[in-house]
Amino acid sequence: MIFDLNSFNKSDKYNYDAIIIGSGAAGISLGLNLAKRRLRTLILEGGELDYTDWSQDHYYGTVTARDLPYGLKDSRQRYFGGSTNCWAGGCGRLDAIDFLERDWIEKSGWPIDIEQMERWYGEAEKFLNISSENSFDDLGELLGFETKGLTYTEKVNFAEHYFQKIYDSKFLDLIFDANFKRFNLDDNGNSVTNVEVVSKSGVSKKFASKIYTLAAGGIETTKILLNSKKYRRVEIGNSSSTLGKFFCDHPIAPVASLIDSSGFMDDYKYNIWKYFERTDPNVRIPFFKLTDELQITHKLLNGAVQFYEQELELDPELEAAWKIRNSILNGNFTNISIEEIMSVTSSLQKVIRAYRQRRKREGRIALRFQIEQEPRSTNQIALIDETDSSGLNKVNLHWDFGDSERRTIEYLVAATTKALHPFGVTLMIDKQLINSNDLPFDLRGGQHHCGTTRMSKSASSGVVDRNLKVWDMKNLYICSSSVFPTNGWVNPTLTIIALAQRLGKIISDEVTI
Amino acid sequence: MNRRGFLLLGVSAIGLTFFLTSKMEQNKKLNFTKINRQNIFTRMALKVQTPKEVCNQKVSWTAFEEFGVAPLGRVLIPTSEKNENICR
Repeated sequence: MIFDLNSFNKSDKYNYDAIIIGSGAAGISLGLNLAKRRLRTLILEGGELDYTDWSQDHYYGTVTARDLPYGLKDSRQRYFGGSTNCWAGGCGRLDAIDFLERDWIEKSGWPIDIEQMERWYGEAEKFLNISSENSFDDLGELLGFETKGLTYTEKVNFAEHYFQKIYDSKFLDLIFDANFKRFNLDDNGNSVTNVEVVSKSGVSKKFASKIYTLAAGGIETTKILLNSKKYRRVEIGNSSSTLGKFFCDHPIAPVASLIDSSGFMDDYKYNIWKYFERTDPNVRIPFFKLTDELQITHKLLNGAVQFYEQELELDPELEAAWKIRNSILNGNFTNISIEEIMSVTSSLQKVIRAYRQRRKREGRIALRFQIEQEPRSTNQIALIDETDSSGLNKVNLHWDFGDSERRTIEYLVAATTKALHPFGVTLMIDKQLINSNDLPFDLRGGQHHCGTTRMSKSASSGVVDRNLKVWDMKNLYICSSSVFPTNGWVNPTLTIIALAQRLGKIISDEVTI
Repeated sequence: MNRRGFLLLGVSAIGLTFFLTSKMEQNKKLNFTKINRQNIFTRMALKVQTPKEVCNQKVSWTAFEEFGVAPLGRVLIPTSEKNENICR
């Protein structure tokens, strides 16, 4: 059933087998899995059934080091269905090498391997009604890379797809407007006795179960644990002092233009928009990824490139035009400078041409990368003084990049240059990288928040064990991309859902013992 | 010339045009192993900047040469085929 916290009338003493905090990709897939195993399960969702500003404001936070192109508040959604409400649907399995300890990448290595994940990836693909077959042209081979397709599932909005199933379920309840307030712990402080939530109007309730799972997303999960400092000597999960550290996102950006004097690239389906225009329910898009051998030989992070049509290079005038457009759409004119208006008006012809190209979806062929990020302890989520409407301190994200990321991008570009050169295709580096040792200024993260409650082999090096149980707690688990020790280059949602399927089995075994 | 003559001439003209176009297309394909400098810079000038501007700009990234690529201005060329003339 689905309830509003304010009108929830089951007895407070009603005991569940499992409580899940968060109703995003992880929470809903885990909840449905547990209900299928006939475990009485409750999902607590902080937001409501639809978007509200009041709920979304909980996600506000600050960012230091690198100016995120997306704000923390806008990179995820806080209502029923979570960030599946804004998910494009990209699904792919991590590569086998992503799970391995690689001596050139600090803190790499998962405590589980690809073989132990195979079954759960299969279950996750079944859950999303997709397959993992590859059927693409051999451009990857020509580049010396490997072609790997990401499937874009049609099941992107979990609230829409699973509302009725949850509503009709005998074993699964979902309560919305239930904003996490705190865990109440036993006398030893290493077991959760109940979870306290509060509604927007101030109605407070406690819910108890045998097992608790935090599935509130890559940043909110960590925020909840960091806030436990208020009622526990050491924050829950922080006995190793790694909680909040090793944040990773996927650096993604166009980096070069292909000058295709021969028309060679016409033979390849590089234009991703054409794929989206297809009528197949689940669209597959090719990426060209580094082979294991290349990563080992050149000590690179995992990464891939993609070719797609893009409007003109992002010059300062075009960036200013884009910013002004967004400001007009958002009704916020305060951050537009006179210089930006001047630069747009003085290059009006260029701006109009770029706009027309964008509308027609034509222009240059851009080389875009999507790569893994090296885990660094300095990339960290930490609490700030400001609190959200439910009384939890908000967070600051410190996010930056280093040489390993840049070196990987350079290799991807260099290898592509060498492979395509004999066919009359030349690469020209984007203007924004002139006299700059930095990464492209229009670099964006994939809004894939990973790493801040990492899975580890020992209690001294992470927050959760291989079964996703918090090391210093008896009955608290985490199901989120925040447990990824490294993030590969592939979008994380399929792996999150695979881990949820796996955790369903683990919790079921635990409860029925 | 009667009507049939005009028709024959018209069909021949269309056929010849079609033949020549396909030949030109074939030539274009045959030449693709060479970098068509004029084409590159025409396109760059049309879309972005002049060849001179492109060649005078330097990319600061450092690992390209290690990976066998030489940046000539903003244009990347495999080191094995480095040709300084491209930017003259």
